[in-house]
Amino acid sequence: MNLVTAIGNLLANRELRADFRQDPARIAAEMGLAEREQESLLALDTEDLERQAKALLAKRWHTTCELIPETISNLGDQARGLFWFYANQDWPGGHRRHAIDAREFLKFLRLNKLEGVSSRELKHVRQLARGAG
Amino acid sequence: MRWIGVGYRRALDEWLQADPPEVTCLEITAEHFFDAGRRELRQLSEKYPVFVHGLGLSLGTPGPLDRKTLQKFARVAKLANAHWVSEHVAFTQTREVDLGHLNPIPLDRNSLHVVVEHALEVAERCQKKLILENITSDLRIDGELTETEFLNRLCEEAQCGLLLDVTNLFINSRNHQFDARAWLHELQPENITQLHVVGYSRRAGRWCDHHAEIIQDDLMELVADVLRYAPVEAIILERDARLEETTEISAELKRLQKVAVTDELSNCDR
Repeated sequence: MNLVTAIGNLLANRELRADFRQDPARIAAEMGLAEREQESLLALDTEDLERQAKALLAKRWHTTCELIPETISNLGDQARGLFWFYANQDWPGGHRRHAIDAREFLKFLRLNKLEGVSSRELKHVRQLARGAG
Repeated sequence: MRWIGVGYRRALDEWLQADPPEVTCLEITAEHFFDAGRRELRQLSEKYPVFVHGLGLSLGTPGPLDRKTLQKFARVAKLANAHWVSEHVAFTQTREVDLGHLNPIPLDRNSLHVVVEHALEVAERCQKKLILENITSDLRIDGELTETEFLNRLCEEAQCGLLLDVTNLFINSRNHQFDARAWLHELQPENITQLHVVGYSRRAGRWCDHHAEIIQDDLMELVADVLRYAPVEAIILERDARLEETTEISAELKRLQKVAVTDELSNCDR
């Protein structure tokens, strides 16, 4: 593994960040980094790392709110918490990732039998995720 | 100063169709045209000098660039008849995860080599000048080089220019407590080709970049300092929110124009 991959994994994985905060040397060693890269990883400020990870999720949340406002409104106060629970486990890729993210969040809500999903928005983001619309 | 313009968003179409004289160039986001928009690109490029800005090439990721993304990026650059193309000194994805947004890279020789190789490849593939942008980030990864040393060497070795995001510089200098002007003067001025600017935001005691605010006076003073320091060719107002406020956007462009003209006049006096 290289340092960029290690940092990417930390940013994407809340549990890994928690482990890293608790025992950074063990996590750095387990990642199999070269000695100098391990030193750079161990020099990271864990608060800044957490802040950056949250900023990434906040950007996804913001874009999702723009794509599916009706569903977000229907979910009310629990919308943000549900999204962050979903988003910590799923990182869609590619240039259509915003639409895929919104689609996957709606699928997550339906899978968990949560009410409030707008069928109109689900149809729309499905189209966007396919590159249409 | 040759051009002042905006980051093109489709919400601005109606306003742009009226040919506002304060807009003399456009920057388009390549990813917005990956799936469609051939005719739109042609129309925009017939009307304005167009700069093509990328978000997802992830130049800081070790290993080969994503072939499909590079191919699409080059296609957009060609269709838009890009005056130049730009990307970020950052990574957005690794072999294991696509984080979707910009993240800082280690400031060391390994990273420098990775970005230089990727930058050369992008410029070669697009057959356009490439300029690279400084990002804002809560995370800093220390390395053997300072950020300005890294950027100077990158420009030299990759034969590219800098897209200096003045807002990012301002925000980083506040959040990470360094002198923005000292940082600026460590850069080779001739590399600074284009600027990005938009007002900063403040949340929970931190400065941040939401692409939504009017340019504050202290930030505008930094823009003026950059213009006095470097032969900037273009300034792009980078707004992503409240795009319906076209009167405000127009006023922002006129303010930037005034700063640029004042700078040019003062340079003539010297």
